[in-house]
Amino acid sequence: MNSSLGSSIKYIKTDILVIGAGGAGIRAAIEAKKRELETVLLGKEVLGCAHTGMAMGGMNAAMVKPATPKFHAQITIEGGYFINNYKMVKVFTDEMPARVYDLESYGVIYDRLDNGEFYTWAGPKQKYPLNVCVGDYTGREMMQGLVDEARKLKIKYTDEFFVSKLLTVKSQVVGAIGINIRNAETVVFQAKSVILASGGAGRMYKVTTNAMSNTGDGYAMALDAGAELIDMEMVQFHPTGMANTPSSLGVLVTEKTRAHGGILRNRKGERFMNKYYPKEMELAKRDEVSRSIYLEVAAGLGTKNGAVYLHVDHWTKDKILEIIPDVYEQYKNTGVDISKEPMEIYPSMHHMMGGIKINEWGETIIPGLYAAGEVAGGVHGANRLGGNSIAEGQVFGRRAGIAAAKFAKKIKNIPLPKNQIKNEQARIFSFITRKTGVIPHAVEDKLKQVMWDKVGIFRDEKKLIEAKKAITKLKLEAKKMKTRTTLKERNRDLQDCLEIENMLATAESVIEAAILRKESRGAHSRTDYPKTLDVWRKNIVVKNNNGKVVTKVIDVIT
Amino acid sequence: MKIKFLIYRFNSQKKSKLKYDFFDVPYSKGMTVLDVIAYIYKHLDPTLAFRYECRQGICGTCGVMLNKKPVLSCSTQIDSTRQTQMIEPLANFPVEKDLIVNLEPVLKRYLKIKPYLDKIHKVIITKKKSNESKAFRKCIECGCCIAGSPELTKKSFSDLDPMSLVKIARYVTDPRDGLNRKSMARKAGIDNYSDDLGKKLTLVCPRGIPIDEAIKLLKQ
Repeated sequence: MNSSLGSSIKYIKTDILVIGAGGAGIRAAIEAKKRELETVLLGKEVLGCAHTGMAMGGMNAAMVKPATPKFHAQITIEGGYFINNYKMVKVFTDEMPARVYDLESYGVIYDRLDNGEFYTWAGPKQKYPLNVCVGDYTGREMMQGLVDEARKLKIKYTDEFFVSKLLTVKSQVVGAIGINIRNAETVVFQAKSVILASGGAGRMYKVTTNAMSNTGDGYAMALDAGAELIDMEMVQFHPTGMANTPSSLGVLVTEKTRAHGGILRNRKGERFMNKYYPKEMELAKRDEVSRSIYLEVAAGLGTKNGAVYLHVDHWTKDKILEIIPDVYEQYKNTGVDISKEPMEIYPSMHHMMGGIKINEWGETIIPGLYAAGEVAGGVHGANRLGGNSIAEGQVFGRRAGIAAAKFAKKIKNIPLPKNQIKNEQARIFSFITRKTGVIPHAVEDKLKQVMWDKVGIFRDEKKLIEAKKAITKLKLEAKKMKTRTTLKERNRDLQDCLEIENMLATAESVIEAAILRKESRGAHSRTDYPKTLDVWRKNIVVKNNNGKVVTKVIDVIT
Repeated sequence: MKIKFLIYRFNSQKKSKLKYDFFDVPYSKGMTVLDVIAYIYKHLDPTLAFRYECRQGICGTCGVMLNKKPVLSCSTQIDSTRQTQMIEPLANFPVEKDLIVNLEPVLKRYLKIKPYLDKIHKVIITKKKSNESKAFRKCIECGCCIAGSPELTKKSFSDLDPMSLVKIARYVTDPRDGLNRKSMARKAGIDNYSDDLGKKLTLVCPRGIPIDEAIKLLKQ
């Protein structure tokens, strides 16, 4: 059977190819489809089950006065420690209310007040509340609306499909190649423009809130195609991930919990945020609360699970079930009744602020390549405000869809690069056909440990250099990975191999940028450079130069 | 302590013979069904096929039958008092491979009920109105309700499965939708659902959707 592996290739031609079927990807596909262009949407997971659906608390938009887009922009930039792309922030916050109504027309019903006005709640820095929500499963309802709309518009899609490489001709993206996860069938998509909306890279950390599919595929493929990444050192740790059982480790507990009066205490029952941020307390910014919890546990004041307590047991059960029904369920499923006892929580890798460098239309420096959502960078700067992620995906998803459609209308399909296709197919199937090799999950486990231990909440030169060396070694090991089965049907090891290579490329970018930024800013906390420096009010750009990662420092785009 | 798990094995592409494999899995406190499956894949059999994404009970892709009952594998802990247990793919779905079911027939059926807001009437939604559909909007399309309906015959199923009827109820309670959804439900066979079956399905749903109330509503 092995001899036939990867021998045949299926070719599909389209105008626009959208890679990633989360919030940004589906939004982009809707926009492209509306422009009567042939659009194909690809997702690694079953349609509707992308990581966007895991978002809980809400989505920021200036829907209710006195909040204004200007206020939203101001706190986004303050929250991002002034290295956000100001142009992107402006269009994001200006257009967000219209995107909220779009979702409503797709079927989403936001929580309301008695008078019909949006129910909004205030996250960190929100003097005026910005979070519109649906219980504590806002992302899931958003996905439902988007999927419903995609079905209504009859958008073509293939789910459980893994794109492994962007195809380029003379530095222009002309399509992509990948495999169907069901049967390892190789498919080549020829497209006039390609939108990358493949999400983040949480799985490269041992503890993460992210879904399994978030393996940095987009960062790796964009680097490979010649695009630039920005702010990759900025990795957000959400302060409150579940920490009471190994199975639930890292699973998200929404910020909405603290915003509605959830209280953090250490093992001794002390309300420790007093020590660190007496003014903001539990509603300090995410990077600040995460560091506080880290320091508390490091000082020996954590629980026996190495966590701290988050209390809502002083709320009425009705309030718990109205405000955070899913958090209640998540703990109930692990045997904890949060109306009677506290939750155990610890920071969990949550979000990549950085990503593919785009302008406010989702354009990259590579013709034909667009990006939106978590895979893109710039709008969040050094720290993302809760509620801004699933939100900005809607704005830039739509914009990328418009820009990609415009580009596609202008050009003709370019003949595909046969050699790239052949080589990529050989790379994919080498993981199956080589005689002996390394077990993929052995490489993955080491990567996760390195990132968690050395590229985490607090960083320093020594740890980062060690991490860099470790990743270099793991990249060599990864070249020798070998699937434990030669089956073509649902070969999970094969998918792991491809994802691990992507995670390693992403990790390398994060580490290079983290070594270069010799200051502390937002999510990037250097114990050897603890101060925030004005000279570093800059962005770091990462690029691939003939297989070598190169960095440069650029001025903030204002 | 080890627990013996019987795991359903089948590969439709290879038209393999259906069988059950035995695996001894070391039990640890708090272990979920997903932990068991992942342990087997990682340490005992790399050919085992299964789906999961979020570990949060929200993506809806990890449904399986645990001892003949449909559950989300990430959100269900193992009962350590049972020495031998069984994990199978969701019932009432064709099996693609091992614990992975083929979702296509269900989705095909689903599309027939127009699972989207249609002919939108613009109405301001009050809290009261918005809350009427809230319970039905919690559906994550995991298929557990479909797997938990052995009473339904193939015929009644092909017309209206519980996932579809919940979606219809979601639109009936949404003042913006302009289709005659109740007549759609009647034609599709809502009368095949007894009150008792409704109550049973409500207990099966991992999202706690009151499927019995949806049935009552659509029968009105």
